[in-house]
Amino acid sequence: MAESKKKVLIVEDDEFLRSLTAKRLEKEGYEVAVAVDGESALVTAKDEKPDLILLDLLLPGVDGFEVLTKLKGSALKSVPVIVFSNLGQKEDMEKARSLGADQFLIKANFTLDDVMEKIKKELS
Amino acid sequence: MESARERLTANLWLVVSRFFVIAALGLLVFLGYAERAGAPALNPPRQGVMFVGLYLVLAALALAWFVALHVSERSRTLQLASFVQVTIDLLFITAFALFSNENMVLVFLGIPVVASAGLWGRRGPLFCAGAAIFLLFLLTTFHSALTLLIAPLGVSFSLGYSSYLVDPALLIVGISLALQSAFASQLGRWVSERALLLKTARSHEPVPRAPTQGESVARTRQELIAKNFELEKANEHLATLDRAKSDFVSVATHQLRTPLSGIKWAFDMLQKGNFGPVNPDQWRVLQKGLESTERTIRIVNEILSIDQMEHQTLEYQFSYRDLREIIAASIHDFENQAKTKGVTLIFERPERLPELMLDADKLRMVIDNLLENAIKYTDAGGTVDVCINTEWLNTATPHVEVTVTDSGIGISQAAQEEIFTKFYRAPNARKQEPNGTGIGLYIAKSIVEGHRGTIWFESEEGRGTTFHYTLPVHQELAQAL
Repeated sequence: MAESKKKVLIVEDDEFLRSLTAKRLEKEGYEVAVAVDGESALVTAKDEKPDLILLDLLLPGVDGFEVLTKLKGSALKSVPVIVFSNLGQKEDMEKARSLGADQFLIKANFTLDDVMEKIKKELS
Repeated sequence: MESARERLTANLWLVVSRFFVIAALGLLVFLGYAERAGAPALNPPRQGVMFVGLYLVLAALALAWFVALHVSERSRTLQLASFVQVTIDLLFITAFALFSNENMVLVFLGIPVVASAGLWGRRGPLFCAGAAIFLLFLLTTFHSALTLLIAPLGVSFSLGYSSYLVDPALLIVGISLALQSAFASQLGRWVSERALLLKTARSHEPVPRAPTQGESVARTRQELIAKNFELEKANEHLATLDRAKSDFVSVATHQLRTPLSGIKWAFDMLQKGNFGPVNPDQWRVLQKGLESTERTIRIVNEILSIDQMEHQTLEYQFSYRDLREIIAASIHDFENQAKTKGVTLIFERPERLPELMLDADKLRMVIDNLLENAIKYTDAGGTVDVCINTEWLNTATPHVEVTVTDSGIGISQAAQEEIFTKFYRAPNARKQEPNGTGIGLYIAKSIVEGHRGTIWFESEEGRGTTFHYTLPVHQELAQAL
């Protein structure tokens, strides 16, 4: 029996970045789920049960930090979360880590290929 | 102008000598008394001798204490010592007067009174007056208890007068002391005014009216409060501006990074054929676009770094890393740029190199920066040579030295002084490359020094430049600097 595909949930409000990321993930062989803001992120996470979550921090409504806190306090707490943001202040990175983020990547500093590597490492 | 030290020493001798003056006084009183047929109960000279002896013991102790002091540093202690002495003076003169029945002795209370005026201004004599009266009151009221205390020594005292007569005497003493206080405080003021006059006469300045102590203190206090308020307001304003700038910088960097990520990923995915095959021309154009984008991202990161550095929020995360890998990665990134320009990139990679304790991300900025500059300012046909020098690995302070040598336009003598200054761009660099921010070397220096290394260069205009920087193998501080 073929190994089932891993599912990645992308939480990103920018449409272009979201579509590029989704396309790249699909090319890599992952199943993709998307959410465009914090609230729907939590709902989608619960429904889709992803194997990994790529989480942006600046989201409309409920922000990324709150989503992170709620995720890590729910049944989904064992799902690895890679915070994927363009905020780079030291305090932001520390806050994310203290809330349970497994990695913190600054989008502008990596290509999507790099991100695929990081995801593979996280899922192995 | 006598020095503070001289003044203190003079004071010291004054204090010491006063003890002996009082002692001598006491002796005189009792010797004088002994000559005459005295009041019945006092047994001179034995009590007298005892009294004076006690006084001399105290004086000797005080003297020993003073000698042990380093007077030049302890004017405060000298003040305390003077206070103690004045109190003892009061006690003893009062006691002498009472028990020798020589009321004339009370005149000598003037000595501590005047001394206290010199020491504490107007308040001194008031203190003396009050203390003397209080002491007299104590001695008369508790005379019987005192006698019992002293009985084992085989001496006894009795008041020459009955207590009813002592009270008017006390009244007279009190008034005389009050007058003396007033006189002494006025004397004190005259003395300080005269000192001021002398001082200003010597310095040929116009004589200011000596402000009363109270006036000048109140005025200074008001000025201080006003100044303090001004400074607090100014500080608040600066803090607000600073925070606004920081917020602006962090918002700006974030806002800039988002579209930059979009461009970077779009070009990258296009170039890798994710949206269809790409011909060599298209690939080249996309590569140029990627390099521009990468450069912009680097500048945005540098701006954020500078801001963090200035707020000391830039933390170093050290770990043992292979320096060769970091340099190789950077060289790989710049390969295309160098090839297009016709500049040869060389990396003299040592076969063996121990891992160094580095903050890889930050060090990467230094390497990128120096490489970028080297390539930017070298013309076609030139070379950029990166070398890791390991000859100091086995010394007492193990470190490596990295050199980046180019055959480019070099740095003029005049520009060399300022090359590490924030936003500085050398004139020839500015001509060659008008779009530069001038913050690269400033950041590079900061990061190298954050690694406890040093950075320097040699350069000749028109011939080329070599940048050197050292990195120690271990950091004593593994945490944020």
